[in-house]
Amino acid sequence: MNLAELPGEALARRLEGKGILLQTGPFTVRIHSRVEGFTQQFRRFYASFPVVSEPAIADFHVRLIMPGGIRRRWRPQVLLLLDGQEVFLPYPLSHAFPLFEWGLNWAIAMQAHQYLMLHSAAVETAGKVMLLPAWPGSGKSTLCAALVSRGWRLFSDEFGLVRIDDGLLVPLPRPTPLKNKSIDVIREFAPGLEFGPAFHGTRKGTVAHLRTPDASVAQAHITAPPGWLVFPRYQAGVPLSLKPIARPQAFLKLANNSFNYQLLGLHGFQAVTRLVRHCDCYILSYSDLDEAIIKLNQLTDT
Amino acid sequence: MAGDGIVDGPEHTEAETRWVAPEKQELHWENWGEQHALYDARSGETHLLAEQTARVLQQLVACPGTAREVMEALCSESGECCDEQSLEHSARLLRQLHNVGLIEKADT
Repeated sequence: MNLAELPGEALARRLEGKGILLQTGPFTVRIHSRVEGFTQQFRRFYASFPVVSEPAIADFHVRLIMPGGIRRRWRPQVLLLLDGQEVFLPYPLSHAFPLFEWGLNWAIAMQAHQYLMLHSAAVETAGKVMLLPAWPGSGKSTLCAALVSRGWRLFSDEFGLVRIDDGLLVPLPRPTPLKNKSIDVIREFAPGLEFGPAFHGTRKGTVAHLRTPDASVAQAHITAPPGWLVFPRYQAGVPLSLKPIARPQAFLKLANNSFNYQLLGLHGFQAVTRLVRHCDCYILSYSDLDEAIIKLNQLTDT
Repeated sequence: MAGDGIVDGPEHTEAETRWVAPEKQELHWENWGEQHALYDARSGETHLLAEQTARVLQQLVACPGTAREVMEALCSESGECCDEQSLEHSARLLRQLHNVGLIEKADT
């Protein structure tokens, strides 16, 4: 059953009661909420995601609550609990959805050490995954959204999840958060995409989420091998350039980009070296999305 | 000992220092031609080594020795001619490997 098949009232009751068990990529998440306005946004963005039948074991327990006290009357807030623990300061109530998204990212990054986790977008074409590893501000999410709007399968906007045993990439498609100028860039680039509301004044500025394509959610169980490592770098006005980089350099960049390379020890080393061995490695500098996508399509067609 | 034109002084002392490397199974290699990635299971550290440095370390893993012995083994393996410069180079690479904790002095 998908979330959309649960009537709105039933979903609200479940969220307020024993919680909803949602499947997102390889993870099962139990979500509780008594927060006004969250249910509607959650339903909209996760409509096509599978609901897991009870009883089941959750990987993460996420609970959104409204702290009590007098503040609740004049400046209501929302608090996120992960496995019962407070990990962030409260957010304004209207930011419950981005808080949920960041909280779930945080939970995955802190706990999912059965995978090598790269801070990377991942998209698939022709049965192979292109990893776009980058730290914030590099244009990773914008490029990822643009590629997905042109038919690439979304693996993840945030996590390159590499299975330790066989080196395959594991999909974790979720809503894509675009920030500040990227929102209008993608609105213009792909007018058909479904955006949620803009959340102003978050710790990352204005954030708006792109709905995950249903096809990517439906194929979230289908892993794929890595094919290309492309380190993106957006810079206004620069001419397009896609330059191969040597494997040792790609190795260093990738190891530094990982959430848990050090923690995984030898497994991390083996996973990163295998990835680099099996990929063509490039640095992409771009300022024009159309040009960048044509170039990446040419790369993957050859 | 100051043979083969090696003068007395710090370099001479270093040239006679015996070095030991970790056990072979502690080191995990990935070779990309001129560069090598190395994972040291004892420390959990990863190192990127140039070809010559990797050869010195691999020689030391195979057999502990002094800079001169390492150099002679490598020269013999490659058919290159050994000279003072080779010895200095070998000693410098060993110092670098020591500085990053990959090898130790045999008597410590």
